Amino acid sequence: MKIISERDFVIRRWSDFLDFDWFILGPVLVLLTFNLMVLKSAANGEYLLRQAMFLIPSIMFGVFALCVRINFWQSSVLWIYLFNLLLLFIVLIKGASSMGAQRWIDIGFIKIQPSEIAKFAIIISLAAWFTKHTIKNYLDILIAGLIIALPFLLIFKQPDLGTSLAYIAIFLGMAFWSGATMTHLLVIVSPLVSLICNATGNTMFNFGSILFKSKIIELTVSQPFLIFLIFLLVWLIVNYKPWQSPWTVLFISLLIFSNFIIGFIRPLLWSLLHSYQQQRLIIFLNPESDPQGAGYHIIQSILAIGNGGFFGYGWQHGRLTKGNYVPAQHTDFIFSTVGEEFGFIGSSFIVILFAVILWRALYIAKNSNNQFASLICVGIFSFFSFHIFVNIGMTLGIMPITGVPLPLLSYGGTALLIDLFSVFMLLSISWKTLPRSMF
Amino acid sequence: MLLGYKHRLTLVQIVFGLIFIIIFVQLFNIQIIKSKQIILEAKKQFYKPEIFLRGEIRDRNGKLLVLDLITYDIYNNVTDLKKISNEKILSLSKILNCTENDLFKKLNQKKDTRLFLNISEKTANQIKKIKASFVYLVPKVTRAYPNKRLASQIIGFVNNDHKAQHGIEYYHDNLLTKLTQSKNFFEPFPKGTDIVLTLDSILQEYAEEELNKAVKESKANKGAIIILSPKTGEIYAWAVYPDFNPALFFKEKSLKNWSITDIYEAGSTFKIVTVASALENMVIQKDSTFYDPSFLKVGKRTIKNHHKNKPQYITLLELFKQSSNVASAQVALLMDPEMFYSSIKKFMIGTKTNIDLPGESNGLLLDYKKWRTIDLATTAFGQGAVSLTPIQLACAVSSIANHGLWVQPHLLKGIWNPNYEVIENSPYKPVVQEVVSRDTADFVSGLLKQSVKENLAAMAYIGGNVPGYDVAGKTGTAQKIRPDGKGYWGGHTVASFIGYFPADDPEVLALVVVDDPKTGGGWGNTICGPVFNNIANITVKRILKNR
Repeated sequence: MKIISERDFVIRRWSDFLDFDWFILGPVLVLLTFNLMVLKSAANGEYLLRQAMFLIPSIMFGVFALCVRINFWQSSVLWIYLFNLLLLFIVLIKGASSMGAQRWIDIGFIKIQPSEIAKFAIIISLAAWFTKHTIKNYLDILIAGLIIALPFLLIFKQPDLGTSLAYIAIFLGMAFWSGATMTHLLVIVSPLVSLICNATGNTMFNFGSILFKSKIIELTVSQPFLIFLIFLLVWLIVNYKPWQSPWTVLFISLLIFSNFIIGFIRPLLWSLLHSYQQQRLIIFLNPESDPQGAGYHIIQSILAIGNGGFFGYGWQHGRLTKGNYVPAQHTDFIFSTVGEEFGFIGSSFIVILFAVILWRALYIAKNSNNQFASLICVGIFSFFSFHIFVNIGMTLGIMPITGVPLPLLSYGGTALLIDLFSVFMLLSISWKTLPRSMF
Repeated sequence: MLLGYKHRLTLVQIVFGLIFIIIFVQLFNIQIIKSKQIILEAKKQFYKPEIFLRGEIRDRNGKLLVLDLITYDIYNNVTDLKKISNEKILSLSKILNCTENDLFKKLNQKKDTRLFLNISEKTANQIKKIKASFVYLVPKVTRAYPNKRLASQIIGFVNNDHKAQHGIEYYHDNLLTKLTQSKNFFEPFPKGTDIVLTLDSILQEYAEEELNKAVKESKANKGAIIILSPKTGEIYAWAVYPDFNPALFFKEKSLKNWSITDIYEAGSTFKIVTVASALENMVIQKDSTFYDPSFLKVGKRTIKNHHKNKPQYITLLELFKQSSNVASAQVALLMDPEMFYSSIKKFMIGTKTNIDLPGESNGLLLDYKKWRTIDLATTAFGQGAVSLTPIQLACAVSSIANHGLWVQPHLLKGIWNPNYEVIENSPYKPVVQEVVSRDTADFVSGLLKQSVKENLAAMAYIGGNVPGYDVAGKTGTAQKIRPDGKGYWGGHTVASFIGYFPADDPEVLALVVVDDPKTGGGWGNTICGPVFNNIANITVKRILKNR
């Protein structure tokens, strides 16, 4: 599909300035105000000034996104992709470490986080790819998957589980938009689901234990795992009608078998995880198991949010956040500050603002007359919704702690830059590719 | 494409909507439904009271022995004296009962100097009411002892940092500092658990008075009275001389409760253990007789009786009645050292009784392999291979009184709930174990009862005269070892009397020990006998009649 039309970046009247998509810009401005307000309050306002300083270049980059023609991104996608890979390699070789992970490049006065920039690069790259190649079968998905494979591995190595999962979310969303079916997606995520399912629930069958790296590992099949395998089998049979072709029979049986093996050797894979990653997953399932240690984050966050009640304690009056009970209250757990100080009213307001932005992103994706632009919107939609759901879910205790920041609210220079850039991308696309009547 | 473009959008919207619904449900759940509970949980984290009160200690009748009081110190908070209104200073001076000039002088000092000490809570509240911001109050806690020195050796004391140092305070520190959460959680001064002791404070008071009198009159060094129940192991009273003033512990010379830390040689009271052991080991019969020529040669040494007597054949009853060293040595010599040693060990001598007081001594029981024949003979009347603490002796004899069952002595009776009801009568179960058979124990009790009776009739005993009750008992006059440990110290004794009543089914056992009395010949009978009688009569009123 080729580019049909793009409004030129020409301001004819002064009122053109106000011709933005206010459904996006409005919530974003409110969220940015909130961001500064909450950072004034969280961690005793230490990070307010720095965030405000980051805001200026971020907005400049945003305006840049607004000015540039959309097909500029399409034509320079290869360079962006390679540049991003270069950055990730630099992190791998000579990155700055902090808290057990090597995620930053120190360029003197500032540290940048290429894994955040990579999100944008991946969205652009996938959008460019899917514009030319729609998905018809697994091979298409596999080829498109190669695009994110290298950045994914580089970031998984840092290690940054949350961000690498975000890439998968972006990939799934965009693949679905360009033709992948539910079955495709189900097959892709089935190994992960198998892993999770066999880690939970009651044991149905026990196949004894083996010794691996001087650890005793039990090989079992759990109830949810069995249910999932049966569900997968039924779904595949219904969708592929295997009585029509012997190849599909082979495919289905291979798939079920490999899923079974993956779930079965879960304890082996588990022992390969970092101990802090293991602990986070355990703590997610049972935070009370270590309330002063690893479960502390979740418990304090829930206490802070619950402490806010309906109306909240008021701006700068959060007791748990002010008392520094909540860790990482300016970055990953910023939502607990919001919850405590602004209460149910404030936090639902924030959630609604996010919902408006996301809804609008879908709306633009649907109505845009440009396939590339539409795919970018979906990518940004997936990126934002993954971050919002995982982050807010984590502070509310319904998601594991994965170190994913909350877009537009968490402190973090590179993240703010990419978030604002993405938002301005949305603005730019709606401005340039949506018929005016759609505003 | 299985799904059309529109369906695809709808599906994404549904997933997207579901996600937000989940977030909203959880927000609603945490911030509205569970909010109250969470706010309470969060409050617990802020709750850091400046003062923790220790629990109160009461006696078995609920009388207060020890409590924590909150007092306030007033500190100067003046930066500029001229800015303060005169009226406030006037009203403050009225509350504090001092002249305005004095107060002015004090306020003229540097900021944060202490102006007044130990202001009561009532006065402090008045000061808070007038909102005098030019001073500030700092609460502090003091351990108060309404009965002053009473039972100080048992209760112990807290140091200037309010940390337990001695006695029950120290032993049950965990209990006394354990907050009763349900009621006290958000109080400004949370309080620990209140406990009840087995002591009877009136009896304790009499016992201390009698002991002080006896020790002072006989110019002795130290003394102790232990009154306990042989059946339950509850200690009714425990007087120790020297005692101390717990409020001024830092001025005292000695804070040691010698009756559990120090050992002494029991003397004749130990014959009870000897005879019971021999009967139990069946080396003698109930009707055995012994030839007593008033002396007995064992190796190079000669054992003599306290009072010289003509050669005679005596029974076990006469052994107790005359307190014959020779006969009891013969009894012991019939046993081999290992047999006697293990019997003594069974009486929990040489081991801690595990009473709930800190610093208890094991006592001293020499290994039987090291015993010479003379040790076996002298141990029979408590002057040989065995030294013990008064509480060990009291418990050993109380096991005879309690028909052969040894009961762990204890002082903690129960704990109070915040509404002042005893919620747990015995926080821990005392250890009970059989030491000798019921038959042996009752036979020895009978001998002791009979010997007291006949001695009283013959005016040979002073102790054991309790109107209305038969007393089983024994005097003891042990020779003291020289302070340098070389041999016995002539003319220096440890006088004691141990007795229990009613003799047939004893409810109370009392041990009176006076160390190194200088009058009355230093005899257990003359020094401790009257003391025993006096306290026994009060015990009858306090314990037996109060049931």
